[in-house]
Amino acid sequence: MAKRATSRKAGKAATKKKTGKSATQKARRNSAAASPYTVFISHSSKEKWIAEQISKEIRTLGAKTWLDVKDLRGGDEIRRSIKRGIRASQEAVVLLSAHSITSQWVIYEVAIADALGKRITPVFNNIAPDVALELLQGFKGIDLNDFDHFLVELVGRINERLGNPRKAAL
Amino acid sequence: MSYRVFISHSAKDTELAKDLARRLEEAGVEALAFINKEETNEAACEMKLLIQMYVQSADEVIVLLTDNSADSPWVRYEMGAADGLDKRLTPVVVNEGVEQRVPMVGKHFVKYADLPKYISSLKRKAA
Repeated sequence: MAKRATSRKAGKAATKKKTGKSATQKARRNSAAASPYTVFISHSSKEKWIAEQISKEIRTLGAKTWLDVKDLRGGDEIRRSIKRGIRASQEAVVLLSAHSITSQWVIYEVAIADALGKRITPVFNNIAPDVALELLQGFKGIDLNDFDHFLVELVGRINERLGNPRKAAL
Repeated sequence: MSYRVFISHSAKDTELAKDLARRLEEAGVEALAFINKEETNEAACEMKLLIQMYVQSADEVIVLLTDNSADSPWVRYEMGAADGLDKRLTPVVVNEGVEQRVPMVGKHFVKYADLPKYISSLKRKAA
């Protein structure tokens, strides 16, 4: 009787363990589905169209983008939304031009991304890297005309996160 | 319990920053600031790393908003670091109206004239 009870208990524990494992796997799958690879796009509002094209290109790879649109909300609210966006992203693209280097928000966004340890890629639009922000020294930047190279590398990072090394190798 | 404040300011306002540091220390609050950062030869990446470290070690960041700092990229970077690292960010408006030139300053800021009152409130935190 006691033996039976023990074995039943053990059986129950084993089942519980099995269920536990599959629940974890399920949760992992769900979280991956709920948070696809996200790229934060920092830009000056004067380059909204270019930023939107960059966003479209990234989305075709299956990633999500976070375009920081600064509308008429107050400073506190924009700050919260920027932080939420960068936190939810795996990396940030900073579109740099004569406009954005004087933009109030771009440097602020770079600092948040730095603080949160996110990968930052400056993209130079009609501006030489050496006249761009002193603050962006140390990051590997890319010319807007070479943005396709960035997309190729991004595919690798997206697949790596989704645990698809074969696709990443291709 | 010690309370530590990082003072974000323009190099042109060094005297103002030193004065604030002295007033904070008198209230028992530890003060940290980068002096002459815009004049150092330190590479930008090292500066950024140092700023992140300083801000990380502080409980709060006080930004001295003046005509000099309103357009300073380093001050803007320090504000972003404070938000990114979840530190309390307190803008102090030294030159009246300057807050309107810095869009990340919302409704919450301390007027320079109210600074003694604000420092007393920090004193309670440091106690």
